[in-house]
Amino acid sequence: MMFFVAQFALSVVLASFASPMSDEPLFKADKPEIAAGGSASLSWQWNPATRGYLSSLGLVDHPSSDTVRVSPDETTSYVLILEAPGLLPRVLVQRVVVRGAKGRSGDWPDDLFVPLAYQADYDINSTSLSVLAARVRSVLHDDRGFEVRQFSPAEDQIVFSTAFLQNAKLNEANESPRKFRRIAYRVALTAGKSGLIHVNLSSSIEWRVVVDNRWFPENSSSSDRYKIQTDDLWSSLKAN
Amino acid sequence: MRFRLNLDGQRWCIISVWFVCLIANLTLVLYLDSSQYRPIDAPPETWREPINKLYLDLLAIYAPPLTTMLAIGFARKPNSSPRQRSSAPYVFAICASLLWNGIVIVQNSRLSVFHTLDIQSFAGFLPILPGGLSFLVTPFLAFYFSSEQS
Repeated sequence: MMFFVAQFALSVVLASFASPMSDEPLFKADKPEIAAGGSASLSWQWNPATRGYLSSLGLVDHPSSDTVRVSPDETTSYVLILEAPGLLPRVLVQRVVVRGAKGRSGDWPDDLFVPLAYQADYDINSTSLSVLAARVRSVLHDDRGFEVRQFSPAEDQIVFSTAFLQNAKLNEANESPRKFRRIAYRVALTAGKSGLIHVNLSSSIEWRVVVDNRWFPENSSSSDRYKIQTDDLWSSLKAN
Repeated sequence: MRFRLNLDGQRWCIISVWFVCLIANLTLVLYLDSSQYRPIDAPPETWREPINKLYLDLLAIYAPPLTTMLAIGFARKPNSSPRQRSSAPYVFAICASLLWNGIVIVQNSRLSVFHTLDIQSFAGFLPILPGGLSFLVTPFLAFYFSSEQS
């Protein structure tokens, strides 16, 4: 009898230690710092998770628990979104520092943490933050060829920020002098209650003439050009 | 008929080559200015700095040789009975002048007409000329413009 009582007490004690592990999602890297050309393993666990998104992959196959190997070419923050029925989505970040990395060549907006020059706000009734994040990643990176950085400034938010990319559609052949233009986007997704996701979409357009390498921001009188580009991205995000 | 110049004539011919090339270079930059920099509706601050600097840089590289040539060209008294001189140094002087100026004009054309060179690269190239290619200019400056003969 004493044996069963002791066994019950032990199981209660063990369960009290184990329950926070299953309630709180875990996301960790085996090596938080690697040398250039090296790799690290990212692993996560959250038993109730039924859907997940990892910034380097897109939607993940095993949201409740998995391990993936990553080989970043510069210091990278990996963002993981885990979702479970009836619970708020969890946005987790794991930073992998790369020593001796040269970094990428793209030109980035000055401050990735603030919205860019032209802003538009939308609310979308999506059932999943992960699915919407995967959609944004696919449109910006795969369809439009942008270099994308993802980070999470708040626990319910994921931000996609792109490097500037020259786009022939932004140029006007009859414009004298002929200008080159480039555009960068920033998309912030914030999970709201009752399945509503707030989307802050902002863009920055810069121009230069053929012989001068300096880039200048497109002025406010070009807001139509901004609006067209922002609306176009929003249509792509909704269409996918 | 063989056309041969005396020393005064040769001096003024060399000065003419340099002067024409300076005008050609300034014309190219003026064309660049009017086609690229002037038609901007609302120019941003510091927008014209590179083109303004280019005018000054071009004048700066032409100033030392042209000043020397013009000063001595005007200072020498014309000879009433000029002797004809050997054409070899004169041909070398003309060729060296054309090479020096040709390099500037070709690079300037790449910038102003063909747009295969940006203005910052051209501005970086200009200061190299007076030092790096001075061996093309100095010998004939010394020969023609410091010679006591006339």
